[in-house]
Amino acid sequence: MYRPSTDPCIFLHGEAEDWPRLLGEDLVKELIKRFRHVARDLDDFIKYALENPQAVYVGLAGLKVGGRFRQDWAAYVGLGYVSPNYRTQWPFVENGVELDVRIQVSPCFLLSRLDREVVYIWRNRAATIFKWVSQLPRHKPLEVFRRAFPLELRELARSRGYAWVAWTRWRDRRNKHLAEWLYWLDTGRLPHIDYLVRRCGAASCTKIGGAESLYKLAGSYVVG
Amino acid sequence: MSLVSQVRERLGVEWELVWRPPPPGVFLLKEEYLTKAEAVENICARGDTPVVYIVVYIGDVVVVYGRVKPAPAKCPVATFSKKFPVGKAREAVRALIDYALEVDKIPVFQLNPDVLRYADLCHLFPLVCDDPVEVISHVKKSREVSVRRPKGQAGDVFTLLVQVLKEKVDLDPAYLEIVKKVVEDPERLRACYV
Repeated sequence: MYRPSTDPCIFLHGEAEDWPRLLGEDLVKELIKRFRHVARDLDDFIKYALENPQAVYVGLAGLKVGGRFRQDWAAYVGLGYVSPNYRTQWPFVENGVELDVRIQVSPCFLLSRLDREVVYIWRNRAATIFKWVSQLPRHKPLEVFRRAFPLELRELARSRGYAWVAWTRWRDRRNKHLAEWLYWLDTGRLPHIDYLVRRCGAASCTKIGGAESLYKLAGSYVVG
Repeated sequence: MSLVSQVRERLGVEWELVWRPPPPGVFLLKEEYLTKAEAVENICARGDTPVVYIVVYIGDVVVVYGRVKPAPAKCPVATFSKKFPVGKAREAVRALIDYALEVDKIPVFQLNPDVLRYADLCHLFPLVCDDPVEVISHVKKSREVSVRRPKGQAGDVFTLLVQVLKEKVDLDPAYLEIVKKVVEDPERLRACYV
């Protein structure tokens, strides 16, 4: 039985040095063994997983996982399901800003098998995404979404900080999922995993840059 | 010749036959194209027609080809299986696909794209995998072909149909989904008009 120190979201996390550290050498070896037909080493496998996130669960059948994240892994290995909830505990940044962007699912949800219920959750909780893409990309979603997300929205996160975005509102909810998306699109890494390895501290995630002019570009998404 | 004998002959002797439902695994076909077990049980009640599944094992990974959701309780169920070494996922899934497409004549759009991606077979079925780059290159190719073809020669209904559908898809890419539905199940189209 493997005892990884992270949830299955790591399959969307492009930083190779974090994998053995969080999954353990044994699990990394097992993954490469199971995906030997597409990956010669860890770098190959990370590339494959990032490009084909909805196919990874197929090759994990029968994997025994325990530890703190066992329930997340059991749902993923057994059902191909990853929760749409946000994972990152964003440091509080006071702001009263409302963004007209409805993305209330985490990028980790890209790993979920696209059955009818999952598609409904995407359409219902991340309706804004479908203004930018006609359907959910099954292949290279990171590249597709990097092109699809409006630049002004991405600049908003870079200039004000991801935590600032996380504490803006969509109606009565916070935009914590959206902040995870923007962080992932910029870095290819997931913020909660960066927190786990202490790469993303409160300061670097909340720092307000000086790009005020770029912030003005995002005016179309700011409500009120 | 019985159905089971036909399947055995097509697959070869190295496939093991057991008279029980397949183990849990991922299906080769999309879930929406699997017939409900209850619907088949009524047919079984009229005779002894078995329900056949073909299974490949790739280490712990189990890929199942069958056209009925498992498992109809009132039907005899035959499961053919073969073990492939880890690392031979491509060959294993290809064996199932060959059977499904060549013997059962399953439309390619019924294949589960997750399984194709897992087995790294998307280069063979790019439209099923919805790879945008591949789809665009196919559309470009079909446009080049249509430009080279002299106009006004073929007056048959199929040429007209292709032309109408192409115009529709050019105007609205979402229309491709409707075309796909027709390809997946042409009988549905007949039901609309006959």
